Amino acid sequence: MEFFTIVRSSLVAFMNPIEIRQVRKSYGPTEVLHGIDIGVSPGRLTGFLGPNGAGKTTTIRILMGLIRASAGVASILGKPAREFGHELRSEVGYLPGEVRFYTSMTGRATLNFFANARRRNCRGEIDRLADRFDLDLSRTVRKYSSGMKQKLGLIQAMMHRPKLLVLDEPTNGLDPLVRKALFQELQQVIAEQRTVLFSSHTLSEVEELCDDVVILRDGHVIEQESIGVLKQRALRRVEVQFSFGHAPNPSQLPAEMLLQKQDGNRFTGTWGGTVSDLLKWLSTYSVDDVIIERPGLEDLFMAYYSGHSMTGKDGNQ
Amino acid sequence: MNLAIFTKTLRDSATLLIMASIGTAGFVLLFVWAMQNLGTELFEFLSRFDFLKRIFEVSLGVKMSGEISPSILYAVSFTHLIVLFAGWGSVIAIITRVTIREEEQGTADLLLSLPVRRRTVYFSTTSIWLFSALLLAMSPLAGVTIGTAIFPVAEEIRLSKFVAISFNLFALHVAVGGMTSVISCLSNRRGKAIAIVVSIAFLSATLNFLEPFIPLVERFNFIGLLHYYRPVDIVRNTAWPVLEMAVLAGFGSLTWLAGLMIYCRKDIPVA
Repeated sequence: MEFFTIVRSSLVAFMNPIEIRQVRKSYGPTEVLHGIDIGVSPGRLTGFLGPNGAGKTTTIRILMGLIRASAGVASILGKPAREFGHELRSEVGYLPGEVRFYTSMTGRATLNFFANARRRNCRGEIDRLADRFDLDLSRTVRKYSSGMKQKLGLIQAMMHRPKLLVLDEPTNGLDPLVRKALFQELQQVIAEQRTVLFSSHTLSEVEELCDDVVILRDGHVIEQESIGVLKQRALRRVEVQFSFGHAPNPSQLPAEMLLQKQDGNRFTGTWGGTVSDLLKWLSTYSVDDVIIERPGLEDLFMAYYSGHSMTGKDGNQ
Repeated sequence: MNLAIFTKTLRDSATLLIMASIGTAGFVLLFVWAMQNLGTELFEFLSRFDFLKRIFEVSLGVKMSGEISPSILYAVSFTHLIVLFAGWGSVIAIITRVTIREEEQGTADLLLSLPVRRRTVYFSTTSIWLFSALLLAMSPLAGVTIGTAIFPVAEEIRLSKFVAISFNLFALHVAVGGMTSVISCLSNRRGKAIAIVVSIAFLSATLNFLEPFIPLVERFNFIGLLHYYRPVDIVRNTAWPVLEMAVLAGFGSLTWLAGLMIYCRKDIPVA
């Protein structure tokens, strides 16, 4: 059975750089991942979102072979991560959530150590990235600030130009300039048809940067979609000012309209249907003013995090 | 073997290893000097006071029966707690450095995300233990060799016997190292692992020291590692303690292999 699972996973994963199938993880009696399925498409920048304790880091650590899944298969670049971990990791760059280094070494010695252990010559890329992120490699890591350590972590993850980058909260401690430089680097990575999994708490940067998003809550994948589709699918906030004496009866509103507040002729609520249906309905009334707003991703994610979907889907699926 | 990881571990361990080796050799050198000046007189003095002689024997873990030669007195230095604990301390510190300290400090996340098999990481780092054990086992030999050259005695000192003792000590360090490997792979805290290993080593030392004097202890002494480490007997007899060395090396190899199997399957927690 296990053999067939691995074979099936390998075939599916042939298409996706990351493929996670029915992965569970338990620590004693506590299950922290409840059979999650995730597929990350090639050449895409996928945001990996979820509140603290959702299981993001556990999932990433399973992918990197640092911990074993209790059940299921996690594949990287077409091969099961656990069985072929050492081979796969040559094509993977990884930044842990809390990156730690050998404090007595200089930045350059640290990067040289990792490059030598990888048996790669990364000198050119190290210098380019250090220049890009404005990092002094001659100082010992002990003297680095947390932001500088983060930059060093990013360089070690990217210096061998991996096919897949797995970044766990990469913008922690970065100033806006370096953050911008990182985003440009990641966009370049995507332009080269390489793949990035970008775990973050900062929703605005995922909205700004990512093509797709995977949302995890309480060890369940509750959404996995492209950012565009997610935005498209989101409910619209609608505010309508009907002309005097032309307001509809609140009990006769269409099913798509969820009334939240009525103030005389001003109706405020959410619209779950298409915009053309909304306009068609409004055209039957005399309307003085109308405001239609699409919620920002932040609203959407907050709804996901709290378990109340804003896409018309159940957040606990 | 990954050369980069091996070199880094060697560099990280070098200061401790050099200090422990020089310290051990220096201590044995001083011991040789002290025994040359005081040994015979001390033993004659102690022989007159049985109680004091017994305390001296217990403190060294050696029964001072029969003829006492300078060679036997020098061999006693190989059983001294300073020599043993300097060696064990270094071996324990070096082995736990990678298997647990990297986990505690969080550096294992990057180390184990390299395209290197875990068994290669384990081998590249713990192999330093074999090199360290050898160096630490040879340092008392260096102390005796230099000491006897600087402070000659009438009796001819056969250094080949001290070479045998050194290899017996090497096998002992291998056993302690293997035991440390498996215990550190089972633990998630370095302090806890070190405490367990030190407790076992201390128990073994206690059994060994009490063995010549308490018959009951003699029945259980085979469980202690020091039972298989016999410097004074090597000097008294001519044969190498092959069986004892095989027991120690076998124990060290098996526990090292057990540590390897555990390390390869171990979950690395977030630091």
